[in-house]
Amino acid sequence: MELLKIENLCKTYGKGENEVKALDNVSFTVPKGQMTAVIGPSGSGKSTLLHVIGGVERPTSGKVFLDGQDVYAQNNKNLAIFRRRQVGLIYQFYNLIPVLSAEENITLPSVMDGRKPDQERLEQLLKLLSIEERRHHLPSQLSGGQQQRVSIGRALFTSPQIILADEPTGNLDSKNSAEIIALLRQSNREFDQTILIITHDENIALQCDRIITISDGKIVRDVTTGIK
Amino acid sequence: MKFERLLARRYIFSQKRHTLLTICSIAIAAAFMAMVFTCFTTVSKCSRAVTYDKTPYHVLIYEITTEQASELAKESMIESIKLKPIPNDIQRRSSARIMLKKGIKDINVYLDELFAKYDFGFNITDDGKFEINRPLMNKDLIDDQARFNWLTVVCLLYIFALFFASCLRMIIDTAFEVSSKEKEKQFGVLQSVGATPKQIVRIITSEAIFQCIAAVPLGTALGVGLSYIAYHNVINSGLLQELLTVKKTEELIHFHVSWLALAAAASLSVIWVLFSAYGVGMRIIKMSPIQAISNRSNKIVKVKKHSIFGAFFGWKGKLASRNVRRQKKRYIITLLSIVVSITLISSSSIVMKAFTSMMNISNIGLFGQEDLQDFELRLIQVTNDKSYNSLDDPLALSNAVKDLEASGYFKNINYDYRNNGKITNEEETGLSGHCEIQYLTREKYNKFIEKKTGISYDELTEKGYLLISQRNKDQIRNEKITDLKLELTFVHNISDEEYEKMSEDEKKEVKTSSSRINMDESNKRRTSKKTYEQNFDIVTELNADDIINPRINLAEDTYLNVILVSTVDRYEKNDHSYYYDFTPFNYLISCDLKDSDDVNEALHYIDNSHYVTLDIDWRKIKTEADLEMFIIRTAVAFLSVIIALIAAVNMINIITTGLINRNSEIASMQCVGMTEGQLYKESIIECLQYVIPAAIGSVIISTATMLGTKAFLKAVQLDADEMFTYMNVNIGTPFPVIAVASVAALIIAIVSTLITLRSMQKRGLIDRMKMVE
Repeated sequence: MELLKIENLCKTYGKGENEVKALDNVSFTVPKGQMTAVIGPSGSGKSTLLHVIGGVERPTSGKVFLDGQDVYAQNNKNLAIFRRRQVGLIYQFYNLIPVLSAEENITLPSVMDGRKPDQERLEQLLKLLSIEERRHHLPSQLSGGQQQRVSIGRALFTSPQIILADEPTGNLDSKNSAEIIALLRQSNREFDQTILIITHDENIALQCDRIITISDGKIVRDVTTGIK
Repeated sequence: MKFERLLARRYIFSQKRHTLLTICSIAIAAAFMAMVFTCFTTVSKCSRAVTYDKTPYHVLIYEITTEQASELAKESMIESIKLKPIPNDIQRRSSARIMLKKGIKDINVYLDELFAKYDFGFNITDDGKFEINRPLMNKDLIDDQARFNWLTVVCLLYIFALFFASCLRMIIDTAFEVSSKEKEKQFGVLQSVGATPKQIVRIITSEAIFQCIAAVPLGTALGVGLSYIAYHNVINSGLLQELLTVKKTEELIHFHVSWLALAAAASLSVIWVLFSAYGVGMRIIKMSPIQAISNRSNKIVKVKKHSIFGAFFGWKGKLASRNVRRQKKRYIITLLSIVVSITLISSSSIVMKAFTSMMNISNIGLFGQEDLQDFELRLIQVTNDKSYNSLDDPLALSNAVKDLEASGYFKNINYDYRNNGKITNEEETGLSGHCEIQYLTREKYNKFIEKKTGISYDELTEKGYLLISQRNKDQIRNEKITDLKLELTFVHNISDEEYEKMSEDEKKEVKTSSSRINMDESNKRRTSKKTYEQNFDIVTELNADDIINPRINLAEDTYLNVILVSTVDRYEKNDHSYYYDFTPFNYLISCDLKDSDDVNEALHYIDNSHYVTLDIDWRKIKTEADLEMFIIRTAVAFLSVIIALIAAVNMINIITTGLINRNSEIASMQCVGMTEGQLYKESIIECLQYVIPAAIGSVIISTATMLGTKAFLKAVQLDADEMFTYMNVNIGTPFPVIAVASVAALIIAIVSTLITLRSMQKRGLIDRMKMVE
């Protein structure tokens, strides 16, 4: 079943002779439950692709459909709600809110929705992420690996349709990297979570079901690894 | 809304420095508003108290019967009536002091109806029958006109307050900008996680509201405190006590705080803060979340290769130029706030200087600037009772002076005798036209004349007169004048006995007229004109330019064309006989009070004197002028302090935040090899980037304003140069103030920079490179 559909996506920055085409007519689909790696050299448009899919950056042209819904047919308010409920974003540099504790960062999307956080879900995630003892700590009191776990917890809390991870292990040592990927893999297998990961790491890419290679804003290769 | 408030509270406590600076900014704005409103309230209420004390009525009816008063008291719009019996009135009438209630539409219509209703026998056009105390009515908002006047004053106050609030908005805007810039990335993350734009704006405005909860009461209290200090200064100056007496000052002059006015001031501050916060929020949500997170702009910015500061200061200057222009909008806003502050401070000083010159009441004497004395007294004319004083006595002035001296209340009694005549020996002297004759006291002669002539007072008393003419020095040297003949014309008083003895022809020459001095119709005089020639011995001659006050214009054929000067002693010993029985032209005496505690007794003495009457009470006028100047100076000083604080807080905020944000970058440069000294120099050059353009901007605005003022004065047919001279200002007047203000701004910038850099240096370089605040 097709969860994500990208049609003729283009994104350009600047004008005239300073124009940069970050995405050049990209089209592909992602079925539900697939873990896809997006690889490519620096400046190829990987992050831009992720941000456009996640609804944090509008494309210049083209369409993004998530579960049949045209993402950019919505106004800004509905787009924010869409990000809150349908998408989980994980960044390389964690991007946690420094004034909120680990637990509060995780439950943030739910709180924004005006809903009382699901305590059971919270406990489940804290246990899965092994940060129960650090739940009341501020990000500045957590290690890099712990911060990234919190970031993953935030992305998973509302059980979104898709998780988008932009170099989630880029700032971590190998041990933490392996643990983070293992967590994502576990989420994919146990909860049939659709995941799109940007990575430079070949080993991480090879653990995914599919590898899309981007260069100069275009998809140059799209390979199913057949791991699942 | 709950999570927005939670985040806002967390941000406030986590960003202590920003929070403190923002609270300071808001507090200053609130303090200013509170000060304006409190000073206004105090002045209004004290002014009302003083007015009521002098004239405790809205309407005064001079003559009213008890029955009329009783009926009148029943009127719904009349609050009270106080009757004061008229002494020796056969009809036993009184005068009525009436206090009215608020709500009358038109006082004239109302009174007209009352007068008709109670058969007063007069109407609103009969001026002499009643009096409307318009000042008190205005203060008590009795009728529509009073309310309209009050509304006008309040509107002007609000316009003034809003104008300054707009300037204050700049500092609040900057404080929020800086604080929000720090959190831009986090707001981007919040949006990417799902916060709506409205929620982001609510976080910022919630932060603003929480900060207002601390800042507005603090600022309001500060404003009230500053107002109290200003009030205390005015009281301690002693000027009010001079005008009103100590007892009255204690009774009537109090510090007033209007809670309604303070609430209005506080509300205005809060509204202004919310506007600022909302504006900042709206700016932030315009960026896409990724732009906010990555601090990346889609704009391509060209890097400037060369800069003025780079040319002067080398690579440090180039770096400083680029650093300062990173946040172009913030730089421009800060620069503007410094320019506005410096310009406002220099404008205030110009206004003060002009005002001081204009209010500088002094006597422009013939020979120089004379100090104004406390009282100017005038001889009383009593024509028929020669036992005291008379216009027919050439020594009338000296008699009055002796009486004043004898009273014991006065000192520094100054007077001079003056007269005039027409020059008759024109062929001998080469002089023509009229001549004024002045006899000066020793003090005045020694002050203005002696040094210029080398002739002592006693020598002149013995020998004769100084001649002051417009002949040039060569003529004076080569064609010496030894005497001047003048035709003196006298209006001779004729007594009743003398008139009876006159022939019919002689009676035809006699005129009957009112007193020359006080135009008293009841004191008619008979006079006849007599003309005769008198010779005046000249001791020496001076050119007028050497001795006459340059601000006095001499013109031909006026009494100031040629001047003869001698001494009061000479006049009183002998030369008064030149003038027969006629008092010289001048009948003014100036004097000072010996002891300021005796002012009431001295004024009572003057009131009861047979020789003099009070012409001008300069002491009171000077005190009133001093009081006005003092109040204005105090207000301007406080305003300047607030303006300076605004700019200082703004600048400190921008500079310190900019440095702290670049902590990691600065550490990297130091790792590469930048010394502390080079770092400090580069930072000081950044401070110059704010202050120098601000100073230049202020100079341009001030010069343009002065030139514009001159052009305007010329356009309305006024002599701009003369007015500027009179006000003691010129185009260059603001420059010293701008220089001082700019240096002060630079010192503040450098001190805050050095303190911030020093505290940053305490951590290791690697820690600082990894650090994100």
